[in-house]
Amino acid sequence: MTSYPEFQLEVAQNQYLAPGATQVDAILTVTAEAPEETATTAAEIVIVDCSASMYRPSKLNAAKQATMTAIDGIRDGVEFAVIAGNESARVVYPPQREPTRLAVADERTKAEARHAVAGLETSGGTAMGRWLWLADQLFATSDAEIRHAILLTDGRNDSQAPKELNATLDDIAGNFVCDCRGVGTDWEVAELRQIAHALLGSVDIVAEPADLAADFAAMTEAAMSKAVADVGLRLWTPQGARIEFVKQVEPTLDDLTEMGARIDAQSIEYPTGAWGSETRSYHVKLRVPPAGVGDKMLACRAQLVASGPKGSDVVLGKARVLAVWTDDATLSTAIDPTVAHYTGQAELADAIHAGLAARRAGDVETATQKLGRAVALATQSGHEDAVNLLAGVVEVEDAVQGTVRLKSRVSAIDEMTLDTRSTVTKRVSRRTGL
Amino acid sequence: MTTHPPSTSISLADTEPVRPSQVCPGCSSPVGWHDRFCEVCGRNLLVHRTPVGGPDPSAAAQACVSCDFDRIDAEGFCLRCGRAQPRGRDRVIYDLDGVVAGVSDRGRRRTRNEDALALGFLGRRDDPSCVVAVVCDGVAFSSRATEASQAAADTAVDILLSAMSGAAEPVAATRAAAAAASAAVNRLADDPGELTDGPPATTYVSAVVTENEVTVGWLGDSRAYWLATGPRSTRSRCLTVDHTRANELVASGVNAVDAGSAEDATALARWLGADAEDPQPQIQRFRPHGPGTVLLCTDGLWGYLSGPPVLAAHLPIGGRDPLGAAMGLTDAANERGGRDNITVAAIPFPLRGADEATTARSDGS
Repeated sequence: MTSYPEFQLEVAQNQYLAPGATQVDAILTVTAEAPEETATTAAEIVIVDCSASMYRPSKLNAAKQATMTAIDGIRDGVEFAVIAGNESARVVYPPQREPTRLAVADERTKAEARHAVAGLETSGGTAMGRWLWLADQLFATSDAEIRHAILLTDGRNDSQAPKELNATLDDIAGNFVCDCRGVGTDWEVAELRQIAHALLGSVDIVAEPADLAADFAAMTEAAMSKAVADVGLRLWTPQGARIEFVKQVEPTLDDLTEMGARIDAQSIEYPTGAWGSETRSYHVKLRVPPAGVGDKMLACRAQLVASGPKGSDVVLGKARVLAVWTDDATLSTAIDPTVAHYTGQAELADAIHAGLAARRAGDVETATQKLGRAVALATQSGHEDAVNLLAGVVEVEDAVQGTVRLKSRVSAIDEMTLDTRSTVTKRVSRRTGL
Repeated sequence: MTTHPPSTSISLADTEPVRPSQVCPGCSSPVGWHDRFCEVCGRNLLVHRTPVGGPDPSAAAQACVSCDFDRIDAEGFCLRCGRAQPRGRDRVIYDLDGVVAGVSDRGRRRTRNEDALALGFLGRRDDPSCVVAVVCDGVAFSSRATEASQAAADTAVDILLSAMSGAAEPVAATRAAAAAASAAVNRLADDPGELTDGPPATTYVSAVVTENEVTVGWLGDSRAYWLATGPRSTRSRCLTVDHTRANELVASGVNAVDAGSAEDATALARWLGADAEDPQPQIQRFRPHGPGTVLLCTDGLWGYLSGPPVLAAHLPIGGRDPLGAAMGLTDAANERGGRDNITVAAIPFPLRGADEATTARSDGS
C-alpha cells in the first residue's frame, strides 16, 4: 500500500481537574480522508442464509437479488466468494477445488457468480459460526488488505451452541470485518450484535426484503472504498493511570474496552478495523494519579496505527489528552459539551435496552420509566430518528419531560428496529455542542 | 512567547551572560581573562546580562521533575509519568558568575508565570563595578502580562547597564530605565495582536548596586530589601513602600487600620504600562554598612515572607551564595502554598567577594 488516508484527530475534553480529582473524560474524533483512487487490495465474501425458514419466495428472492447487487458492486480485480449457510456452510461460488480459493472479479466471474446465486435453494437450520468459519478459511487464502464480509440471516442461531459461536468468534476476530443484516423479525438482535461487535462491523434490520438490494449495494460500496485495513487506536497512559473504558460513540456505540491488546507496559491498542473517508468518535475514560494544583499531565497520548512494511507501525494520526489541576472551580466543574453529548447518547441506548428488556419481562413500571427517559434524552439531543423509533413502542405525552405510556400493541418490526438501531448515535453539532 | 527588542537606541549587542569558559559569548572565539573586548567580534566583555526574552524555551529538562525519569518527549511530557516539565518561564534560574542570581517560578497555583526578571553587571566577574537587577510582575488582568513584564525587565536592564557604563548617576539611570521600560510596555499595546483584557501592564522594581551605594526604583508592589548578613551590618529593612490604595490613603492622612480595611486596599495604585498615569518611579538611595544582600522580589514571595529579619534568616549560612538565596526563598514560598508567581533576585553586598571575606575575618578577629 502506498498512500494512506489522511487522518485528523481532534480531542474534546475539559482538561481542568479539581484538586485530588483523577477522572479524565475525552472524546477523540477521527476524520479520515481517503484518496480518490485507492490501490488497496480487497476481498469480499457474501454469506447468505439458506436455511429452511428462508423458503418464502419473497425472502429468498430478495436475498438472491441483494447478493447479485452486491456482486455487481464488486470492483474488478477484487477477490470474492459467495457462501450459502444453514446448519453447515458451503461455497456457492467460485466452484471449489482443493485447496479452497476466492475468485477474482471480472465480467465473466461476476456473471458466473450471479448464475450460481440464482440457483440457491433452502433447507436445514442455522449455524452462523460455521458460515463465518468457512469465510475465514477463504480469506486465509488471500493476501488482500481489506477483507470484508456481509452476513444475511433471517433466524436465530439455533443449530449450534452459543459457546461454539463464541469460540469461532474468538478465533477469527481481527481477520476480517463483517457487517450483519437481519431480515424479517425472527432473528435475534443480541446474536447479530455479538457477531458485528467481534468482527468490527455494523448490524441493522432490513424490514422489507425488497430493501435488501439497496442496502447490500451500499455496504459493498463502503467496503470497496476502504483505503486502509486493521487500524488500531493505541492509547499510551502515564504510569499509575488506568483506562476505564474505550467506546466508539460515533456513528454507533460499541464498547471496545475488552478488545484492547497490551502493546507495552503503558500502551494498549484497540482495533478499529478498516477506514475509508469517514468520521468516527471514541469516548475514552481514564483514571490518572492526582498531581498538585497547577501541575499539568499528559493523561493519554492517542495514536492511530496501521501496520507498515515488515511488521513496522505506521502512525496515521495522533492527539493528546491533558489533565491540569486547578483550584478554580469554574474551570474544573465545566463539562465539555461533546463529552456530555456522547455520555447522553450512551445513556439513551442503555435506557432503550433496559426499557425493552423490562417490557419483554412484563415489568410495565420499569419499561415506562426507562423508555420515557429515552424519549427525553432523544428529544434533548435532537435525535429525531430515535424519537420516531421510540414512538413506535410508546405513546409520548411529553417528549421533553419523557412522560410516556407503553403501547398495548407494538409491531415486532417496530420493536426490533428500535432495539437494533438503539446504538446509532446522533452526531454532536459543531455549533452548539449538542 | 514573542519578545520585543529593547527600546533603547544605545542598546548593547550583549545578550548573554559570559560563560565560565574563556570564550566570547558572542562569537565563541577564545578570549583572555583580562581582555576588555573580543578580538574577533569586538564584543564588550565587561558587560554581562541575562538573555533578552528570557530563557530559551527549547531548552529541555534532563530528568522529570516528578518521577526523575530521564526521557522527556519533544513536547515536554515525561515518557513515564506524563507530567509536563517546567519550560521557558515556568522556572527561570539565572546565575551571573556568582555576582548576581535570580529565580522566577510559576508557583503552585498559577498556570503560567507572568513575573520576569533581568540581571546584569559591569566589569570582570572577579571585580564587578556595578550590578543591576530588575524584577517585574505582569498585572494579571492585563493582556499579555507575560510579555509586558519581560519587555520591561529586559529594556530596563539594557538602559541601566549602558547608562552606568557611561558613568551616569544611579538615580538618573534608574529614571531613564523606568521610562524606557514604560515605553516598551506601551509599545505592546500598539501591537495589532489580541488585546482581550486591559492594556499590558506590570509592576517594576530595579536595583543599581555600586561599590558603596544601593539605588532602588519602583512602581507597584514588587519590593526591594536590604538583608544584613554580618553582625555589624546595617539592620535588615524593606527599601520600598508598596504603591497600593491602602498606602496611598495612609499617605493622604487616613489611619492605617481604616486604610487597610478599604475595599481595594491591596489594589495597585501605580504600575508601569499603557494606562498608567504616572510612570515616574519612586526612588530610594541607601548606603549600607557591612555585608548583606540586596533582594528584589514579587508578592509571590513577600505574600508569605515579608519581615526583613525573617527573610534574612532564610539566606544560606556562610559565604556569598546569591543563587542559593534566590532558590531557598523561592522554595520557601512554594512550600507555603505558592499561590502566586514567585520571583527573587539577590545581589550580595559588597560587590567583591574578597572584600567580604576580609571583612568577615577582621570581624572575627
